[in-house]
Amino acid sequence: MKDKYRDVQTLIFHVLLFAMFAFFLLNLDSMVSGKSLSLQAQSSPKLFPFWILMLLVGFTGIQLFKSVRIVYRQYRENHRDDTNKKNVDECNSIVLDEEQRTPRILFSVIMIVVLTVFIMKYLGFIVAAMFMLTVTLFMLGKRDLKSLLIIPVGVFLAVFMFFAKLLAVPFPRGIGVFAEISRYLY
Amino acid sequence: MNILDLIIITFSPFNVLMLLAGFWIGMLFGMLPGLSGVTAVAVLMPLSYVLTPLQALIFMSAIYCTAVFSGSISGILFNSPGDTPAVFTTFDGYPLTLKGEPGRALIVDMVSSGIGGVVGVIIAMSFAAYFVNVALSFGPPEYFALGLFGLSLVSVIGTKYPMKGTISVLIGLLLACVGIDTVTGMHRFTFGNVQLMAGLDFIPVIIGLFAVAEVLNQFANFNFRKKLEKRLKDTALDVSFISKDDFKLCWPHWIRGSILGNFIGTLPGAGATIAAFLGYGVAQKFSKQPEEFGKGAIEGVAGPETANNASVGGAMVPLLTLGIPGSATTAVMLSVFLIHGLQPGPFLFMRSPELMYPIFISMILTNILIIVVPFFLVKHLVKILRVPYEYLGTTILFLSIIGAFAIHNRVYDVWIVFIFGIIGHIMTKYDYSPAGLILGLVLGPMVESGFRQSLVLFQGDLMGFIHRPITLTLIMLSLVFLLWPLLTLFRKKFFRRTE
Repeated sequence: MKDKYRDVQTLIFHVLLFAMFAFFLLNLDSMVSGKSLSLQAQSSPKLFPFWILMLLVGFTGIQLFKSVRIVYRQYRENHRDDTNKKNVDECNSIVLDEEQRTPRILFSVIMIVVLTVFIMKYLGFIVAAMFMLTVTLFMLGKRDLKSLLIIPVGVFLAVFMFFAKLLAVPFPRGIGVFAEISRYLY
Repeated sequence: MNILDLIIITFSPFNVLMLLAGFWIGMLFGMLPGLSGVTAVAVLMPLSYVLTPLQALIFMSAIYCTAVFSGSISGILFNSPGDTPAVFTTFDGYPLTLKGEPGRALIVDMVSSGIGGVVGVIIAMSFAAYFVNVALSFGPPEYFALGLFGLSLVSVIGTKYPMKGTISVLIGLLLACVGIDTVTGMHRFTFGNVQLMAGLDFIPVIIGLFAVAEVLNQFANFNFRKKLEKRLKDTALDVSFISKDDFKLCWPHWIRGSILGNFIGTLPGAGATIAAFLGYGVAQKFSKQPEEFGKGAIEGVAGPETANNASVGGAMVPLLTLGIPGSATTAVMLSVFLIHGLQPGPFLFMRSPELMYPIFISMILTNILIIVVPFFLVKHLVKILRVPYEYLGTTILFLSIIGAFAIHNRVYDVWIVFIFGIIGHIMTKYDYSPAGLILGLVLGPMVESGFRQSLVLFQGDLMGFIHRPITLTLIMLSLVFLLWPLLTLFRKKFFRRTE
């Protein structure tokens, strides 16, 4: 069952990939702006992307076909032996429970990064950096004071001194009171 | 002026001090994602006002040499290359770390870099005039053929599914089309976004595809990472100098990589990235075990590292002899001459050898330091791998975001890093090749602009490519490398049938 999920995911991925490149190929005229020269013109800006998209549509089409074939074969094999299906599901559910832990970590980290970049503009670099370091370590299972306070502060200070002070990188200051506080620091 | 006088000039106390300062600054800047030798040279350019031209050039060239090498340290340890040329070293360097041999990879890395750098400078000094004449004969058709030659080595990209590797390269070529077309000025795939008009910058894409994607990969397979940490804690991470077996494997690549890298460095616009890639590709082609590449082959570390450091010597040749910079870093270094009222070129090169040759001698000394000094650091560097990944991964992620922002001081680059981090994670999950995407992104502009400019030059006549010997040679080599795997397969099947 684990393999079937992976193969279905691969199939969906290839469908999306194929659809995206086909869309780009069919709408190439609108994606190359201005009064485009024809493809036959010597220095047409559409020439190179056209041929690359043609090859991409062709190759991803082949990959899509292979994925469909694999999923179809898996489906036929899974339906052949129904008596063992329940036992297989029970075993695989244990495996799946173990695996489900790490996708949650991945998703959490992605959301933390998105939030960090978003809030950096409004709350400034310092607040965003401390948020990212502390919350990421918390999501990774760290609960002690050293992990949640001392290490994030240490890493932040080292990076801050190097980039903001030595290289004079103008980090975002945020708005309002955050901007005013940041002017005392960098 | 004889060679002894030039050595005495180079070894004056302040010049040696500038060399050592440049060495350590280059090490630091090269290792950090988002920073590079170009950044270091640009940021420290104002220092040249208070230094003599020779002191400033020794300082800048030491930074350049060391930054090109040190970018591979973080690439080998964390799959986070500090700079673009180091990408190709990670193909085999990082798998060696996962096998518990980070010290071996780092030692071969530094020895190869040092040897490539020394040999590259010696070749540059000896054959500067000849290389420059050949480099001057490179026009759009030759650059197109060089790019095509690079693409013909696509089979070396680390993936067990060649079609997926090819799709990855094609995606990179498509991404290279984003922005304003250099020939006609048309907007391509910009979707009305002002930021996209400048195209996609390499550095944020590389930080995303390698550093961030690797962190996401590790967090997605966190159980596996914790088991690896336990294994690394139990394994003695021994570090000793290069073994006899590794020496025997690597020395042919040192010779090949030095000559190839030096020549590629001479070509304006080619640079260490192209040199590193071709060094990797040629190393695989000439290896007795090409199937090991991408899985931790030590030759896969020696090849690109020798070539990219050898290209540094090559890049200095057109700068000093013609006043034409061979790379981005040498373009910034050109300002040092201008600040002091000097015009680099053949006249200055012939009339002021006391200014030119000590630069080459100092580069030789820097590369000798690259072989010796990091050996004492490697023992401590590998201990970083024992740091729990919760801290390591979070720090790498944080540094990637900050490094991305520091490139152009805009949040847009951070979004690019993040988006390509997710793309890199997805590509790895479905067995596509982020390295192939980078290859397409790097070579795409060279291939497309070379081809289209050539068509304009030849007025649409494709036979024009055949009438240029360098172009014809490179195209023939490309066809051989592209068709060789098919020919080998055909030959095997034919002989099996006859048996």
